[in-house]
Amino acid sequence: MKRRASSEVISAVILSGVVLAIGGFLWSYSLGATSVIASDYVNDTLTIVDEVTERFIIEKTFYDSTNSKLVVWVYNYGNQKTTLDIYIDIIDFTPDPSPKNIVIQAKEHGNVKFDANLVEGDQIIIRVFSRRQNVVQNIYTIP
Amino acid sequence: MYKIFTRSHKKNRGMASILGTIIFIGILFSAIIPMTLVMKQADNVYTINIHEREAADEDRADEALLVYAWPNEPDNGLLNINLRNTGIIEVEVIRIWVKDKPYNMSRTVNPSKTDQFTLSDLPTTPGEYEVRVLTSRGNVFQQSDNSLYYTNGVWSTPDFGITVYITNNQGRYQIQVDCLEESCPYYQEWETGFTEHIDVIKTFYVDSYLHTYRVKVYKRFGSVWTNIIEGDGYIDVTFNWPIDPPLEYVYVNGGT
Repeated sequence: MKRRASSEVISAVILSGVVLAIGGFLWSYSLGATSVIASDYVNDTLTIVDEVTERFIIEKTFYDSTNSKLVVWVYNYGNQKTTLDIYIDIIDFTPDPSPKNIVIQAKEHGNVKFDANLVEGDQIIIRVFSRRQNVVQNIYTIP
Repeated sequence: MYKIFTRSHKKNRGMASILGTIIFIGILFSAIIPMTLVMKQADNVYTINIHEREAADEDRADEALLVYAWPNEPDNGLLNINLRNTGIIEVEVIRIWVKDKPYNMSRTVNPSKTDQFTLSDLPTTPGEYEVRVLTSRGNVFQQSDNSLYYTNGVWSTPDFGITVYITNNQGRYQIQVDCLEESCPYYQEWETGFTEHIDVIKTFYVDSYLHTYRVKVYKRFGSVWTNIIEGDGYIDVTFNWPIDPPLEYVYVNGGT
């Protein structure tokens, strides 16, 4: 039986231990890093998908002269819920510059009402911004 | 002594290489490849969603609907709605607006088919009424041509007409409409000013719905106008008012 020096065995054990320690750290770090990278990539991709496939239209606008309200109906014909900020800009007159926001589920419609004293012929620019940076715009003339 | 040292060093280095290789392969299979697969799967989801959306947008662009609205009776508070699908795909109507009032519904109209129904509980604000139809794909179609009025408790649609619809790729057309009866001195002629590359749609308003009108359509080949209506060379139009809409449609194939 061949005998080995104890220092030789110890050095082999130490070297293997060092390799295992560094390798284990690298392995652990790689698992964490790739997991985070993959998760971020998937989340970013799904965010882009939601942004690109988001769809909505201004379905109907009308002025309720009895209550002095401009009513804007929006239809979400996309496949995901959307949060919208709706602005109106009345030419030469802006009674309510702050936007109204609304959350509309997929395939649903919703409305917002603006206080406005309008007369026949007034033109209103309606801009609907989604939180995903999509925009729809219409011009409505009071009949 | 020298030989022993060399052998021992090689043996240790070999073990480290084996461990390093195992760790590298472990990282590759447990981290890098799963990450790549997940990213690839995300790319697939992106591609599928984009393609589905593009297909839905194309379907939306293909929708075509003609909307008519006219009173069932002048004073019974009912409104007839006629929807004619002139497109190539089915249309699902989910809401109808009569002036500022929405009516939720779900009605599917197949291509080249007509759906007719009656709305009740109408708004009664005097004035002109607009009828708008919303489809599930996000298109809004407005009432075709004829106006709808409500005054003093009575509905009215003052315009009776014949709309000639020529499906066309390329051509110049002339349309003639005249009344067949002596008591009805009506004749109108209209022609496209130049070669059209889209479908030609022209509405002729008539004085009364009680008469029969004859429609002839000519297409210009070289310098010659040729009647393109098959058979007798004309189409006679009568109004079945108020059961049918105040607008009658005549469809003509303009050929290539």
